[in-house]
Order: sequence, then C-alpha cells, then structure tokens
Amino acid sequence: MARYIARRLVLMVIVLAGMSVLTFLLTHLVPGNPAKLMAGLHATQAQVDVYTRRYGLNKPLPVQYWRYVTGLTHGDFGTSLTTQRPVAEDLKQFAPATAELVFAAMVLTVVIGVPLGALSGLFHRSWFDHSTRVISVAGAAMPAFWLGMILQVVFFAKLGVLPVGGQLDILSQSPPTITGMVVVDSLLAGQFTVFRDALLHLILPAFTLAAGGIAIVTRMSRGAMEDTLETDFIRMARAKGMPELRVVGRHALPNALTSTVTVLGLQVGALFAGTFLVESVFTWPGIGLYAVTGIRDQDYAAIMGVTLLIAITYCLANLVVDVIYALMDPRITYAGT
Amino acid sequence: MSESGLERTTETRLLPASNHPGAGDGLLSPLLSVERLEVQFRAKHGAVRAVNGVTFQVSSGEMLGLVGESGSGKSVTSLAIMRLFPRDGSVISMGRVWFDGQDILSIPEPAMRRLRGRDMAIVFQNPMTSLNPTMRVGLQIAEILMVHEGLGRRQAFERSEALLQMVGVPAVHESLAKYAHEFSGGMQQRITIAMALALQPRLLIADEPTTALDVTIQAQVLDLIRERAAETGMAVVLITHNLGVAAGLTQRIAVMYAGLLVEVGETRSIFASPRHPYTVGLLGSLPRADYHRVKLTPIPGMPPVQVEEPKGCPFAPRCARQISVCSTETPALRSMGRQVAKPSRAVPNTCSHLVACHNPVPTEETPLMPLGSRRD
Repeated sequence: MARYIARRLVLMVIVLAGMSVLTFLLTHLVPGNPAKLMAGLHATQAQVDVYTRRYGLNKPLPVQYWRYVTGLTHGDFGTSLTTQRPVAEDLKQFAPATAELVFAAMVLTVVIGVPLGALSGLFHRSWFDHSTRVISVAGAAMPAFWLGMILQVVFFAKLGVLPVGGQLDILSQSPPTITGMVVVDSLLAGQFTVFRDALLHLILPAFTLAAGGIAIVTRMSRGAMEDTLETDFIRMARAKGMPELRVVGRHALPNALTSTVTVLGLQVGALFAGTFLVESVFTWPGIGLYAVTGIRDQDYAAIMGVTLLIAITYCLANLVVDVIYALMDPRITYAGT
Repeated sequence: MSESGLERTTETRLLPASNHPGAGDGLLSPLLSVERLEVQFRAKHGAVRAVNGVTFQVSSGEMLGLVGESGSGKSVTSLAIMRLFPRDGSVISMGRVWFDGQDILSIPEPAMRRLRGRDMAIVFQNPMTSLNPTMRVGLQIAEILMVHEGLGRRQAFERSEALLQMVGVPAVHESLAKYAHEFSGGMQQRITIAMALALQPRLLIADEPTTALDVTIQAQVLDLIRERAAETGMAVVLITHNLGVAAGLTQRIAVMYAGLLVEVGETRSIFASPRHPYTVGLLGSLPRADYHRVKLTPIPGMPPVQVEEPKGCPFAPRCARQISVCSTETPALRSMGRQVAKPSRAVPNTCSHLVACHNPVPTEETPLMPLGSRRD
C-alpha cells in the first residue's frame, strides 16, 4: 500500500505539471492586456509599459512559464495583479473559508445523499423512492447560483431565519485565527455565540454547493443498494435466518457503499468548481470568490494559483478515496509496481 | 392405463433405507411435505408459471433428487420451501408446504426467519457469489451462531473453527480471517456447506451444489454432503440437472418438467425402467463411462415458458410418443404399479413409481441407453 501511495504521488506531480502548462497557456492566450487593466483606464503607454516590465509580460511565453515554475519550487506562486500581494499569501488567507465550505458540503452530501439513496434502494418503487427520485433529479438539474438565490429569498428575505451571505454577522467579532476556518476557530476559542453565528452562515452556501452532489450520490447509492440487495450473498444471508436489519445494514450496505465512495471522490472536484458560483452568490471570502475576481482582471498568477491548489486537493482526495475503497473491499489490492 | 395399476394393499411405504434413529419419526409424517405447490412470477403481461402444482415428501434421513432442465422449476421450488422470494408481491406461492407439522407458506415472517438457518438450510449453486465479498468468512459462519443461539463472539468463532474443520477446510484458524475470494471454488462451497450445517438443520436443500465446480471437486463436495447427511440424519433435497449426480446419492428421484413433476420413483427404479419419455430423454443425454461409442442424444427443442394455464402435457411438443390426448389433457401422476403401495391422504408419491404420461414408455422397451444408438 505504501508503495502504491508513493507511486500515485509521483503520478500526481506529472498530472500537475501537465495541468500547469495547460492553464498557463489558456490564461495567457486569452485576448486582453492585464497591464492595461492594472494601469487604469486613462493610463499612458509609458505607465502600461512599467507594469508590463514589472511582471515580465514582455518576455516570450516559455520564458514566462519557466520563471513561474521555478518560482513554484520555492513556494512562490507569483504576485497577484489585483491584490498586489504574493498569491501564496492570498491563498493562505482565502483557502480556509473554502475548505470549510467544501467540507461542510461534503458532509451534507454524505449524510443526506447516502441514507436517502440507501433507503430508496431498499424500498424501491415505493412512494419514498419516487419522491426522492423527483427531488434528486430536480436537484441535479438546478443551477447552483439560481438555487442559492432562491434559498436567500426564502430563508433570508421571507422567513428571516438565516443570514444572506458572508461568514459572520457584521456585529460578530471574528475569533482568533487558528485554522482560518471560522466555525472551527470559534469552537476552539470557546466562543459559542460566534460559533452559532458562523454555523448559521454556513448552512445556505453549504447546502447550495452540495445540492447537485446530493442528487448524484442519492441516485448512485440507490442503484448500488438495489443491485446489492439482489445478489446471491444477500439471499444467502436471508437463508441463514439473519434479521432483516442485519441483512441490510451489515451485509448489503457496506457492499453498496464501495461504489458510492468512488462517486464521492469525483464529487470533490465538482464541489470546488461549484465554489466559484456559490461564493459569489453568498459573498463567501474563499478562493472561489478570489478566482472569480482574478479571472475578471486577468490576474494570471491568481488564476494559476487557485487552479493548482484545487488540482492538488482533487488529486489527493481521489487518492484518499482509492485507499478507502481498498479498505472497504478486500478484493481490491494495490500492487506496488 | 387403468386404475388397476393402483393396487391397494397395506399402508407400506417404501422408505429409504436409513439406520438413523430419527428417521423413524419420518415414517409416519414426512419432515417436508410439499402439496400442490404453485409459484407464479408476476410479469408485465400476466404471470409466468414457474411451478404448476408439485407434490412430494421428504423424510428425515432421506435424500431426494429433484431433477430437470434449467427452467423446469426446481430452484424455484427450493426457494418457495425456504420462502426466499422478494416480499414485494411479485412472486405468488400457492399450495401447502408442511415442514415438521407447520405450513410454512402461512407462518409469520419472524417465525420463518427462525426456521431458516436453524432447521432448514440451503446451499446454492455458485459459492463465489453466495459469500459476502466484504465480510470475513469467519464472521459469516459465526453470525449464524450468534443470531440463532445467542452465542458470544468468542464462542461463536470457536464453533465456526470446528465447523470449518468438519467440512475439510485446511488451516482453519487462518481461514476464519480470510475473505471469500481468497479461497478456491471447492473451498468456498465447503464454507457455504459449513454455514448450512452450522446448527445441524433437519432439512438441507442443495441447489446444484456442484455445478459451478471442477469435476474432481464435485465428487468431494457430494461426498461431504452425503457424509454429513448420514451422520446427522438430516433430510436432503438435492437439486440437479444431472441425473448422474443424483444417481450416486439419492434414494428417490423426482423429475420436473415445465413446473410439473413428470416422474417420481426410487432411484433404482428410475434408472432401471424410466417410464416418462422426458426421463428417458434425460438419461439418453447423459454421458456414461461404461458405454463406449454411444452417441449422446439431446432432447430436441426447449422447455416452454408457461404463461397460460397448462393445457395438455407440456412435454408433448418435444415428445416422440405423443398421442392425440397429449395436447388436450394434462396427465396426472399415476402409479405404474411396480412397487406396490397405497397412496395415502392425497399425497400419492411417497412410494412406488409414479408417472404423469398418457403414453408411458413400456418397461420392456427401456434399455439403459434408450435413445442412444449402440453401433457395435
């Protein structure tokens, strides 16, 4: 297993290298001149030239790429054109909020999607199954930004039970930064009113982000459960006189979940992509919002930095999923070679 | 054939030679009595009739062979006995299945669940898929003891170890911690047999237990079943499409075709003088080691899928001995009178040689290889 993980990490470096080339090319080939944007609307050509030289934008692309990659090896992600700060610092500041949001969405996906799917599979073709099907297909079809706004209208504007956006109420004191995740930090600091406030702020964006994934995971685990319940070993478990609860919970569920776990791994990528829209709708101060601003301003370094960070997280998440998969299904072994 | 074939003498039932003490009880009331069992699968257009009124008995210590082609209803019969159909109403079982004096088609599910695994057990065809791939085999055996007997984990695993030993799995202690895929097919089937025998059931249904195994392993597994049956006196229903497998093990054979029993009799009698053209055909398609250069004769055609109420003999379209009445009247099981006994309480086939055929093959015309043409 250790050798397998090592090999996967090496492969990951290759994937990231290829991906950095692609993103670099895409961002730089998009028409427009970031130096002009930065210098401002009424800047003279000389002023624009200053910016162009400062960020090496006059150099040929391969040279620019090489400079970027050598910088990466020392942890230098370049300097953001908009914030005028090192991108590494920006990421350090914005990533925890996104991590918090994505993690919360992942938890929602698992705790809502898996039980709903498993129960639908168990009671297939019942009213419960039909209603979860309708809801989950609708959930998968709904664009996240639209769902987000509808939820804001209902829970903030109409019912007034949940905040409209941001991580905390303006009047709430931010907890001391430990992890950067407000919910965790407030809990660690023992500030329970802040914790409650942070949690309330998290609900709508996390649910909006999770909606599509919940739908997919529900459908997948429903199918897995239905298929598993028709297998010979389930019939065998019943033939052994096992109580139905044990047949479903101990025999069917673990086998049905193995395929669901793979879907969850792929979902991580979708969640990060979703943060771009969801963070914009809920003014959530994470890397999604940072990236959207960066894209608007052609902030090459910022876009590259966010993309790389997401790619690394995605690769690691799927590695973790594959390891979990092997732990859940003893038939899967990973050869070290 | 008239009623005269049915000689009414004293109530002597020809029961299998069994020296097991418990077998004596079976003399009066068989352990398992299936009466006019019908099973229908609900389909889009009407119902598919998988079993169309099957009646047979099995006594303690007896081994009955249920023989027939794929789709003849043998496995469905066994699932009906264990009541292992989905509970969504897509499968309907009618008739009576008496097990030890209670009609198990009508008892509530919790009571049925207590019977399964404890009093009646089943071994399926494919051991690889019958074992849970993500649960260690030790727990798969031990959970039976824990659930039915309330044993603690430790005790249950100790007994599981002994069970594996009994069925001939090597390195029992290590094997408990292994998963199904780490065993060969033969060992997997031994493990499922250990699971089936864990609580010394009174009835074992072996549904094609050797079909998925190598020929060399088949004999070992069959020997194991025979050995355990002889030792514990349990009744065995051996379901197989292979008359050769049934020949070596069973005392009686029931031949199924299209959800009906077409011939029932003592194994010796079935082999010596098969009376139903279908049985004759089955024997003809059986390879034998002692007859060389005999061409195997397949039965032409396919078994029918019954949707309508059966009208006429279902085998008639494939039968060489078909006469006019065959297509209009479904033949009932009748005694061929060779082994004489009185049919009692509307359960006629515990004894004698019964055939459901309007034009049975005459005794003198049934050589051992009836349809095969010997060339030398």
